Amino acid sequence: MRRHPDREVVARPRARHVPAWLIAIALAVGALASPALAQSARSQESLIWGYVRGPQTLDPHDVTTSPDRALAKFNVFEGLVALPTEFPADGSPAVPVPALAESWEVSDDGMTWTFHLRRGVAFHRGFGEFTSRDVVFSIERLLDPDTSLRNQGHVAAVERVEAVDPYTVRLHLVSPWSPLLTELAFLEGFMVVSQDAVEELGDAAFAERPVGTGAYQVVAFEPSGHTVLEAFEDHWRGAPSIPRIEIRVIADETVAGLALMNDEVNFLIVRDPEVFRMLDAAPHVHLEMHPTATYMIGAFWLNTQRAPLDDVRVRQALAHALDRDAIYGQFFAEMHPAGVAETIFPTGVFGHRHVEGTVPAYDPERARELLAEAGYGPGEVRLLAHTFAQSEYITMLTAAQQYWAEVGVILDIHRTENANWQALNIHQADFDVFAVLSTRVEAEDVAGTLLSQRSVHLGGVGNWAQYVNPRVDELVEEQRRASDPAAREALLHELQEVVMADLPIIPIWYGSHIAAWPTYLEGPEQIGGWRFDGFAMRFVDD
Amino acid sequence: MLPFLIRRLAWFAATVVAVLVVTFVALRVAPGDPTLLLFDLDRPGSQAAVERLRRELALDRPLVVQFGIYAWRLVRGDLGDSVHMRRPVASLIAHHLGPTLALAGAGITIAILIGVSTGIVAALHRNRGLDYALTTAAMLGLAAPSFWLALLMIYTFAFTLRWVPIAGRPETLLEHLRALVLPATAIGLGAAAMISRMTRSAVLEVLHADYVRTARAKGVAEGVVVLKHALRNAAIPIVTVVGLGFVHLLGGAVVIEQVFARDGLGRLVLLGVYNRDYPVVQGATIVIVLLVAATNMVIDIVYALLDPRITYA
Repeated sequence: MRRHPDREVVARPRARHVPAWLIAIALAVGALASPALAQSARSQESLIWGYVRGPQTLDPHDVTTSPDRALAKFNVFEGLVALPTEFPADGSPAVPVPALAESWEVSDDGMTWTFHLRRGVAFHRGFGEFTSRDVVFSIERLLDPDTSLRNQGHVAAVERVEAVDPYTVRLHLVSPWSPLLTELAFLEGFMVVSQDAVEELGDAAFAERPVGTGAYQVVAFEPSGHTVLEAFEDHWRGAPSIPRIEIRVIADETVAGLALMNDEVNFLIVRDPEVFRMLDAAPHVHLEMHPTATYMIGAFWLNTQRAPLDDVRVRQALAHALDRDAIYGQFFAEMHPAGVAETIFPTGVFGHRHVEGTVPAYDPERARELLAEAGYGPGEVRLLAHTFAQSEYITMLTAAQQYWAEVGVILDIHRTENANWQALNIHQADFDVFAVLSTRVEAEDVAGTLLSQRSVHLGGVGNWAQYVNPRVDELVEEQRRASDPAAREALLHELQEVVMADLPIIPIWYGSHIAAWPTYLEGPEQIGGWRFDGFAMRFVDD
Repeated sequence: MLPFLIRRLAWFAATVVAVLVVTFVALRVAPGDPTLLLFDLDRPGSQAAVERLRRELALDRPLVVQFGIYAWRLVRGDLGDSVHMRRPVASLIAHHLGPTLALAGAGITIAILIGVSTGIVAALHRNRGLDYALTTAAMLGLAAPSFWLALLMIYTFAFTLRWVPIAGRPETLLEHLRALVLPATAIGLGAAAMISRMTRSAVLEVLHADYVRTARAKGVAEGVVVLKHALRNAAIPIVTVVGLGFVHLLGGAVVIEQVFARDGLGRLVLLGVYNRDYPVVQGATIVIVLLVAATNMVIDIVYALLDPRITYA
C-alpha cells in the first residue's frame, strides 16, 4: 500500500515533541519530589509547634488571643508569680508559686503587698539585670491611661507601685483584692518587661523582638505567622534542653494532624474530634488530657432580661428537658474526661462547688408542667440562638433543639461567622440562648465578670446572661475583700448556690484542652492545657 | 496606543474607587466591632479601653468622615495601620504578597502547560477515544473543588508517599519550588481544564481554515502546522481564558493557602475579615484590584503581539 507522504509527518511530531516535554516535566517533578529532601522535625534540634493562628504581637502587655499567650509568652517572659508545674493531686485549685519574686507578704488590711525579688536574673540580649525598677516600669506602663495596652485588667486593683530597694517592690491597692496573686499569675498574667529595652527600642519594635527574662528569646517574628525562639543560655534556672522552638502556622487542623504524624511538627493543640480520633489511633503519638482540674465550662447562657426566659420557670423547664448525661456522653466525654458540670465554676477554679443534682434533672414531664405554669402551651416558646462554624456549639445547639422540641419549645439556630456571632451574643445581647465553651481561671473571672450587675452596665460585655441579683452583687464584693481563703471559699460556695437556683446558665460539661505530641518528646509542662513551658521539655528515645 | 492607555487608566481608577467604596461600606455595615474583637471573648476589655480604641480608630465618627480620612491618607500613599497587628498595612501586604504571586504564577504555568498540550492533543484526536478521555478529565478538573483536591494531594503525596513536606518551612530556592508543587497543581488543575477546553475548540476551528490547508498542501511538517500556523491563530481566545484563569487563581489562592499553611495574601485577608481589621482588608483589596487590572493590561498587550492586526486606538 502506498503511504501518503503527509501521514508520515503526522506521526513524527507526536513521537518527538510531546514525550520530550513530558520527560522534562517528569524529571523536574522527580527532582522536586525526591524523598531524601523531605524535612523532618525529628532533628532533636528544634521543637516545632503547629498552631492554627500565629501570634499577632509579642508585647506581653498587649496580647489576649490564645496563640500569643500559650505559645510564645510564657517562654519569653516571666511574672512575679507563676502557675505551679503540676496541679494538686486531689484536684484542688492550683496556687501560684514564686517566679521573679521569691517571697511576698500582705498587710493586715489587705491594702499593701510587698514582693521580694530574685537576685541575679538577666534580661535577654544583654539588657542587664532585672531589678525592682523594671517591675515598677511594667506596672506603670500598663496603668498609663494614654496607652491602650490590652492587659490592663490584670493590675487594675493597683493604685500605685513603689520600689523600696532594688530587690523589693510594694503594690498599694485601691481596695483589698483577694484575687490579686492569681490574676498576676494566670492566663495573660502580669509579665515583667525590661525598661531599658522598651525605652531603647520603642513600643513597636519591642512588640516584634521583645526582651524578657524567660528561658527562650525571640529571634524571628512575623505577625500572625512564623515565630522562632532560641534558648537563653543565661536564664536563671539554667539553659533549657531544647535549643530552638519554632511556631509554625497551619490553619487546617487536619493538615496539622497529618504533619504531626509525619514528624513535621511535634506539638499540637487538638480541638476537632476527627483529628483527635486520627491521632488517637496513630502509633507514637501521645494525647494529653486533663481529667481533674479544668479551666473551661461548656454551657447554655440564657438571656434573663428577655421574655420568655426572664421567667425562672421557663429556664428550669429548659434544664429539665435536657438529658445532659446523654449529651455529654454522646458528644463530649471522649475529649473532655472531667464530666458533666453542675456549676458555673470550672473544676480548677478556686471556690468550685460540685454537688450532684444542682442542675434540674432530665424530666420532660416536669418541663411541660413548668411551661404550663408559666402560661406557655406547646409551640408557644420560640427561642433564638446564633452559632458559627465551631463544631462544639453546633453540636450543643442541635442537641438542645431536639430535646426542647420534645417539650414543645422551638429553637431557631442562626448560623453566622465569628465576628457577627460575638457582636450579636456579647455586644448586643440579641439572643435567647448562647452556647459557648468559655475559659475561666480565677473566681473573680466568673463572679465579677460573668455574674455581677456592674458587668451588665458595662454594655453587657461581660455578663452574657444579663443576670441581675443584688445578693450575688454583695457576694461578689465580699469575696474580693475576704483575706482568709476559707472565708472566701464559703462566700463563693454561697454565690454558686444562689446563682444555680436562678439558673441564668445551664452548665453541660467541664471542658479541657487536649495537646498532642510524639512519644519521643518528654514533659511538655502545661497547666490546664493552655500553657506550654519549653524549659521543661526534652527529646528522648522512644 | 496612548489614548487607549489613558482610557484604560481612567477606567481602572474608577474601578478602584468603586471597589474601595463597596469594601469600605460593606465591612462597616457588616456586624462585628474590631475594638471588641481585639479582646478575648473570655476577657472583655473595659468600657474605657474599648472607647479609647474607638476614638483612636475614628470609629466614633460618621461613616462619610471615616471614608474621607481613609481616602485622604490613601491619596498620600498611606494604607493605614492594622488594628490587630499594630503595623503598617503596606508592610504586611509586602510581606504576604510574594508567596501569593509565586503560587498564582506557578499555578497558571502548570495550567497553561497541561491545558494547552491536552487541548491540542484532544483537537488532533477529535471524537476519538483520547479526546473523550481528556474531555472527561477536564470536566472532572472543573468540577472538583480545589480544597478537596488539595487535601487529597496532601494525603497522597505528602503524608503517605512523603515526596514533599506537608507544612514545610522552605528556605532554599529548591525547597521553595518543592513547596509550590502541590498547591500550584491543586489550584492550577481547574484553570487547566478551562484552558484545555478552550484550546481544543479554538484549534479545531483554525485547523479547518484555508491557511492550514495551504500549509499542509505546501508540505509543511505537521508539528509546525499545528504549533505555528494553527496554535498562533487560535491563541487569542486561549490567552483570554488564561487571563481569566489567573484572576480566578488569585481568588482561589485564599483557600489553598489555608490548606497548605502558606503565609500569603489570602491568609492576611481572611484574618482581616475574621477580626474586622478594616485597614487590612481594604489595603489587600486595593492590591488585588491592581493585580487584576495589571493582568488585563498584559493580556491586551499580548493580543497585539500575537496578532499584528489588532491595534489600539
